[in-house]
Amino acid sequence: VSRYLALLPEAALAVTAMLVFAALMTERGRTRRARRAAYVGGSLVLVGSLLTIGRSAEFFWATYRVDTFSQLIKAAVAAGFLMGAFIAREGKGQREDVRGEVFFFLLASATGLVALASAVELVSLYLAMEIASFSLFVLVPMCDRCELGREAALKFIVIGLAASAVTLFGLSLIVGFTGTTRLDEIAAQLPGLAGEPAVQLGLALFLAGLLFKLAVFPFHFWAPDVYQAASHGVAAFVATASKVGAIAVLARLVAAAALSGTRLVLPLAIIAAVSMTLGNLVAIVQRDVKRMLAYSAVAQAGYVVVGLVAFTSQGLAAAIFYGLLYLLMNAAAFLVVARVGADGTNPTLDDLRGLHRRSPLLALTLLVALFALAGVPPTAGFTGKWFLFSAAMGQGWWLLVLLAAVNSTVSVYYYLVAVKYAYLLPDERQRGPLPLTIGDRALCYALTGAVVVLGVFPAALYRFAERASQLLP
Amino acid sequence: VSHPPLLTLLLLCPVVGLAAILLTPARHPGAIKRIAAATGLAAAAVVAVLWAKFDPAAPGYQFVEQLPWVGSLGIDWHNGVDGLNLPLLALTAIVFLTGVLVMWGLEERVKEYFAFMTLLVIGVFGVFMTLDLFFFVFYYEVAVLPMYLLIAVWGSTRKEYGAMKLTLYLLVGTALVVPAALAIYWGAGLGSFDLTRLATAHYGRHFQLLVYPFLFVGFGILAGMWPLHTWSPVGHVAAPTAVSMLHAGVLMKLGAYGILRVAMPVLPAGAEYWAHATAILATVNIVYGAFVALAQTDLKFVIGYSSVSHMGIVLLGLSTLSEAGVNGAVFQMFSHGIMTALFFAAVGYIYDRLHTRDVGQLGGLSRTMPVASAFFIIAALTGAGVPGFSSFWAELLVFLGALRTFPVLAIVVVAALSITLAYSIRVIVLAFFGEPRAALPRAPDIGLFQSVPRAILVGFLLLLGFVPHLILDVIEPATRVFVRGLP
Repeated sequence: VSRYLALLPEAALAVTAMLVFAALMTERGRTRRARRAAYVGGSLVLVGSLLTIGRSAEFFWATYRVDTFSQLIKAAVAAGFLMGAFIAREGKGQREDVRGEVFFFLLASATGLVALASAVELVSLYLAMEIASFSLFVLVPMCDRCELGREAALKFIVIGLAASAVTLFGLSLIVGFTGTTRLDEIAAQLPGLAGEPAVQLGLALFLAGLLFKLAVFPFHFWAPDVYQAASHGVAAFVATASKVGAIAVLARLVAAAALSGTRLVLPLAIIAAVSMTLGNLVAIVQRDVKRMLAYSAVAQAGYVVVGLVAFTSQGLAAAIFYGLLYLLMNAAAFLVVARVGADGTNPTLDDLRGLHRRSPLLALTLLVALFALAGVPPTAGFTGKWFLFSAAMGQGWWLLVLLAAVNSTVSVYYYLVAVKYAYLLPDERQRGPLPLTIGDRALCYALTGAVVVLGVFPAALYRFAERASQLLP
Repeated sequence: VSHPPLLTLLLLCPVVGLAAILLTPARHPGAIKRIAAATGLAAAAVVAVLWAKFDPAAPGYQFVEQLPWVGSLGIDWHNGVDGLNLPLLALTAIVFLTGVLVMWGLEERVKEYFAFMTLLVIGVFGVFMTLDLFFFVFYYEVAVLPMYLLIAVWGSTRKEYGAMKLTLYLLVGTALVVPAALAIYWGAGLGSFDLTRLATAHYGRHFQLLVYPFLFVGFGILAGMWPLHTWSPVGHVAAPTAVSMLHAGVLMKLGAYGILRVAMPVLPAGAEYWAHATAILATVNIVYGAFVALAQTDLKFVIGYSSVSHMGIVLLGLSTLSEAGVNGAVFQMFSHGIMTALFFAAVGYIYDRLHTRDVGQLGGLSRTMPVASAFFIIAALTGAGVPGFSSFWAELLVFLGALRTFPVLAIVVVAALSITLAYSIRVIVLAFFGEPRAALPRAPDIGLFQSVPRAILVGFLLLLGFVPHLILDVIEPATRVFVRGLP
């Protein structure tokens, strides 16, 4: 029985999902009940995965593995989910009639991501991925910016389904050649099959599907539109929990596939380089803060891939570490976006004017979040990037590291422009102070504190990331 | 870990100060200023203890603290002091304390100002004490980024442009430093970022020749190296007084110190191979900076370009790879830091009262505000290398070193000193002597309280001008060891 305790997070999720579903059946106060249930569920998953972090067990004919890696990712997914639910709590920017449903679909997507973290078999991995994606497909058009929402949703769904199809085809090739769907068996067989073009094609296609989730060039086209159209809460979820999930699978696949030495390495490096450069350059011209964050996310995904192309356990650890930090930085950034655009509209750079006077705490949170994204110490962004770049340098990717470092400099420009609006430019409209609830304040302190503390004291979390990476695939 | 961990204590001064400032409500500006001053005093006190306890004769680093930070990656909490960085720690404490006092009259957004300034000082102290490459780059960037806000919010003349230009230039520098640092780490194969161990590791010659320029240029940008110096005068002019002081006085030294502490000891063959090139660049710095300063009409631009010129002397001293040259370079870092701080403090007062820094509009200031003028003139004389002030000895040492290694360049540089003298005298004559301009507003001379920080700076310039061995005794033994490690 104690073995099944390791499934605590999943059980919590299932119960919560049912509770939310039941809450949505009721008439009055359905949104409130759904929200409360979502908070409770999210917290249970977070606590459950942290409590079971030392355990390791396998379930369902060894297709589902619980270990440090999976529980770490689950905790992160839960944190991202809670963040999304917290930001979506007032339902601003959401269609009135579906404000409660948002929590259900967020929960569903989180379920997929949680399963994704533990799936060690291709079919269950695929299913988990689809559960996570399909809920998001539904969430995006639920915003009240109809035109934008529909266009973004359509793009998201069409590109997403195409990516799924590509993933499936790649999967079929891999399964066809190896004769198994289990990752560890595939990992054992792949070195012998590495010269086989069809296997390489299969891996490439499978990888492409995952890179879509991470919004890496050239699979990033959905990201800016989705970030812009989706309500703040949903966008925050996509930017945090969903990204961590994608990094987790990617790490698993990279560890399993033993790609180093294959022909896939160079294309992957090129994708990382283009992703960083393109994301950063396009972000410079954005006025909508969420769109800017979307392009910055494309660039950030590029940094993660820089760490992964090292194909060492150090690179994997750095990628996992960075994924966790990335969640915190982005959560902080989206918290500010949600408060500045409290009526549900997307804040532009001009809306940030005078923020230091309207709410010094939010301005500070924005400053720390953006400096972290830019990779400026003492925030965790610097430390995380240092680990990523170091892993790549260790495998001789000096040109890639140089490009990544130059890219960080480019990115500082547009992050600083946003900081300039918040700290420097006067607010002609003379808007009054921005009210923050106790919850907002607490989150601001917690997130900025965490981002700085993890930047200066990375050792504890990094040790977890290392241990997690050694357990892969 | 030494007992007690004085260096960590020194770093904690601004950290605690920053926390205290952040926790103080913005409606109590007076309390915030007092906290900042107390922070500066505490840091100065710790540095004084360090200086008193420091034993110049003892080999190696002193007050060493070392404990693993990220074990698997070889990152250590590793601090130590030798004769090369002790003067710079002292410099930082002096300029920080006087900078806080100079800004006592600040009224606009006091809390944020002192918070960012303290953050910057954390970075500077960190760079000067750490012996771990990861933390070196970490602190290095901590010191750079607050500059943006400090200049953009509280600055003057084209402040947004100046701030952004400065930040991007300096970050281009770090974009070169970071890959080079990682290359060193992997090239050494020790799995450690410990600078003392990296300095003893063996690197291939080609590796050294390839990586050294990355470090030299990357750090050199912050040291105001020609032709990547243009951010520096623009940034100085835009920055508020104390930020200019910290910036020209301390921050530019971070660049030179990076070359001294990381680039040269770790990659000695690279330093030797590129020594001619870097010496030529440094000479261009000196000559070019002096000529451009001669043509400026804005007092702050004059100082900005004089800094470019003087930092060239530091780079030249380092390029000689000789004992005298490196001694002079370290001495010059200290001396120039104090001198520029005094320069900016003096100009800051004049600008605050008269709202102009244009030498064409100023005139006869020595009659209307004699004390404020005296401070500027003393700084200018120090800059010109007049005996009796500390820079004389520093520059002399560099020239002696250069004469032996690069005689032609040394002669050019000595000739360029006449230009330095010319622009100093030109500015002094135009702005401070002659008839007072009627168009200028009447303004009181500098008061007693505001004279104190400036007088402290003057005191150090004179003290080391007459008793240079106070500092050379500290620097020399370390330099001897340092030069022995070079080819």
